[in-house]
Amino acid sequence: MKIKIRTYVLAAVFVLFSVGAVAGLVNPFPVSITTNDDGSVSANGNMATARFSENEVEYIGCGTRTVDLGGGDTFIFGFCQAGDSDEAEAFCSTENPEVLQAIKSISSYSFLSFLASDVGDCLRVGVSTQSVYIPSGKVK
Amino acid sequence: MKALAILSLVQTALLILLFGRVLSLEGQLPMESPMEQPPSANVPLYSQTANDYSGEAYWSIDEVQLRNIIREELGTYSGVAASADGNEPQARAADFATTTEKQYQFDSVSQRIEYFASVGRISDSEMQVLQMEIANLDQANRPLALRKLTQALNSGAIEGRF
Repeated sequence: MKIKIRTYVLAAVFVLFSVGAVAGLVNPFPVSITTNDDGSVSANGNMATARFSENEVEYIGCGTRTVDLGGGDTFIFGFCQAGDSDEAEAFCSTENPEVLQAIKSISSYSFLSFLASDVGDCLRVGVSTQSVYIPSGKVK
Repeated sequence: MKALAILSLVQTALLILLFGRVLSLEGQLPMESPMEQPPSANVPLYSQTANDYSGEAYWSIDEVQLRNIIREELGTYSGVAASADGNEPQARAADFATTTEKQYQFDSVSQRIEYFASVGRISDSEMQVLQMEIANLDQANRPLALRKLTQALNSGAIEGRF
């Protein structure tokens, strides 16, 4: 009886620790922000890496705002923003429909990159949704 | 004594000669002197005050322009005066008012952004309100206001997020 109880306890311990075990390639990518010579700013990073980083300032993401102005008129704009571990920040905004489509394609754990012009326009938005960007031990 | 007499005679002769020279020079002066010519009505008199409207040439160019300007300004509010180009004064007045209102709205949003820049930060709720104000701008001014906000965030003048 004691042996059975010990066996069950040991089995439970192994099960608990095995929940955290993962396989497959993981590629964390901290947020990085670069100011270019022409005044434009590049930012890229993995959303999950930013979210679960040890610091409390790192972030990256994009979004859209849709406003019904009435009379069939709608105002839609998109934005991207990022902050790195050194507290440098980058922002861009856009009304370009194609760029807005790219922003809307962002999903959980995406890798993002964007280029903001010297006047704050989103010149480029890159989205990559791959398994390597899913952090270890996290279930979607 | 004799010398003094001779000197006084010489001095007198010189004075007579000088007087004669002055008289001859006065006779050689031109008859039409600008100082003596009476003012003409066709010559712009720049030395006159601004309230002197007697010079016709002075107003021949400005009066037409001034009338057009006054007509446009009155047409903005009354829409009564007829225009030289034939356009409807009410339509032009409406366009002028619409353009003015659009500019006023843009200036208002622009000042809001500058206010947040002076404060140094914008809260999430304030950002949402500001975005709504930008949305209500006309199509031409929306990207300008959006750009101004983005530039303020990028420069660090405003601490906040979209």
